[in-house]
Amino acid sequence: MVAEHEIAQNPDNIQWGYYDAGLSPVLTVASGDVLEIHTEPGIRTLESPIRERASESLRHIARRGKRDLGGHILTGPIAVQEAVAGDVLEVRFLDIWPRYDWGFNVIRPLAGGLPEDFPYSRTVIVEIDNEAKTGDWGAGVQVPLRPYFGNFGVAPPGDFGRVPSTPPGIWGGNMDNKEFIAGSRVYLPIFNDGALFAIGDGHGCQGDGESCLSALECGMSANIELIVRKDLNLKMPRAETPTHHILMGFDPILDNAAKMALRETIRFLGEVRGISKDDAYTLCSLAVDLRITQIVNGVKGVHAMLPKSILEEGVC
Amino acid sequence: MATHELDTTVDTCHWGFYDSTHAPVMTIASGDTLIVKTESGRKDFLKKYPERLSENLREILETMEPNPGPHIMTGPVAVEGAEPGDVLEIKVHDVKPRYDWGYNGFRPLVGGLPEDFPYTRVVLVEIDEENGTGDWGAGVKVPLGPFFGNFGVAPAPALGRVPTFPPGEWGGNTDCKEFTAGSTIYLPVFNEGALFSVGDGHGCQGDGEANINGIEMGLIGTFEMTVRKDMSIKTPRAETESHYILMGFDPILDNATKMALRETIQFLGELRGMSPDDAYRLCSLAVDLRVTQIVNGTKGIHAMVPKSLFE
Repeated sequence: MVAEHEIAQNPDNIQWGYYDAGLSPVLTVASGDVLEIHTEPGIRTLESPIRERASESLRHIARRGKRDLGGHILTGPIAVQEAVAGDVLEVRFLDIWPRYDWGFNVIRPLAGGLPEDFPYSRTVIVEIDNEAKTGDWGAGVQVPLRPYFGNFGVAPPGDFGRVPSTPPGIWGGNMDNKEFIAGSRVYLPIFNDGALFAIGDGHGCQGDGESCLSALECGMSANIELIVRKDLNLKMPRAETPTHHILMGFDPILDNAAKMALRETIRFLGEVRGISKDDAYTLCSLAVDLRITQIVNGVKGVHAMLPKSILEEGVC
Repeated sequence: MATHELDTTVDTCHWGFYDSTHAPVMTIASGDTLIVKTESGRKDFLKKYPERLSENLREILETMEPNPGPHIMTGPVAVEGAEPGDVLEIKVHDVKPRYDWGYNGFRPLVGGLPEDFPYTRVVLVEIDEENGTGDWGAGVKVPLGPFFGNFGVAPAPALGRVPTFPPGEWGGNTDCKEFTAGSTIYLPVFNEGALFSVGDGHGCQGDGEANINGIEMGLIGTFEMTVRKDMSIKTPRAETESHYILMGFDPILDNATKMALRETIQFLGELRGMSPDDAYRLCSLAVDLRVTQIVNGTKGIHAMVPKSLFE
């Protein structure tokens, strides 16, 4: 596959820690273009033990880049020519591979799933074996790689101003959904002309929940295709894998996020399959799995996994 | 090792509670196999679906009353030698449908979205055991994955009579869809004989049990029951062929999540001598937190730890 564009992160083509509709695009592409992207792991400052392994480009970004609010180093904004507010941006992840032979995992006080139990910092380097597709977690345990991007989205509505890269929201952002591996497609509502897409925060692997705050944070490369969909209309991001439709809920309280994901699923089944509310609610109870996306981004996430197989068999 | 069969009668069933003072209907030895039948149904089925009810279920619905929970429980079964502080190991060898029908219903004030569905709706689901599907209607067949939503030991005597709807340290209404054939569940024992009861068969269910029911149906379970004097746990644990399962229960999902995480960190320490820091980190990279159910008052989160990590 030959990508129409290749973009590697440098201090001048990133939004480090935020989304903002007021930013000027660093690249403009056409709908349907394939981009080869190369990203660095998210950091706030370059400290040991990451400093010792950092690439020249991450060192350069740490020296010259301007960080604000959050820690994610996002490539962007990328304008998509045909996009206008009200359209949907379909992001196709064609291929994703770790850029380096290392990543890291970090625990920080006051953050993570159990801040009361772990009130201190701990950063650990994880060696990545790109051939075996594993990360060496230590103590003889190899974690299987399942690379994806934790943080990508479009610019939020202008009224929102500069939004930290930490929470997920209607613009996408820090969704940290481990299902968004190569082969998945994510649909984002567009709030600004050009969509103003940004992406970063590569995760070599992650469990549902992202318990300790961070995943296997690593530099990541990918081929992605950006497609403007004028035939769709969304209020919330949606996604699909080859096997599942994925509907999402975001809220600081998991109970509310679960309700939101359920309502999204019921609405989706109605829109896409004409299934009544009552029937959709029942189908959710019998065959849709609610999973914890993450509990560590302030705004937490629950996602509903709706198997495509049950709909294919049906004629509803 | 003996095999015992236990059917559902007005004498072998209790409806809606766990209670350490409820006398056992059968006593078995540790290591024995129990083949146990269960019933699911509502009183209004006597009028709505009389032709679908077995004699056993009809008699239970006619003569017994749900109090205070809705689950018809078979048992209790005493396991000889079990004492408070022990662990009851339940190997689920087989779970199969008993009837060719089940049902799903939601009702006001309960379920995952009570604000959106303030009314009752109960639908009968035809079960095709040969193809392993339930006919959800409108041409959609849902794949069966039969398991028992509700089973447990008698709670500590101090807890008195406990309703069947919440899960708790005694097990109860865990509604964990992973507890299919091939799984093993470990329950802390609080009374002599453990006093095991089981009911609430589910033909299938999604994680979350969104509307408060799976396919509710009579099932037949084959359990190997063993008293484990070498284990000590405070909360139920389980394993499947591929995963260890740790659980958290709380009315607030955020708290249930923390409980499941702490259980997992403790378990990884016991299993592998892992430090809490290392276990916490491994959870973040490779352990999946899933919503067990959001509909039993006390909600559930379960953590799935892949065994493959340690092979």
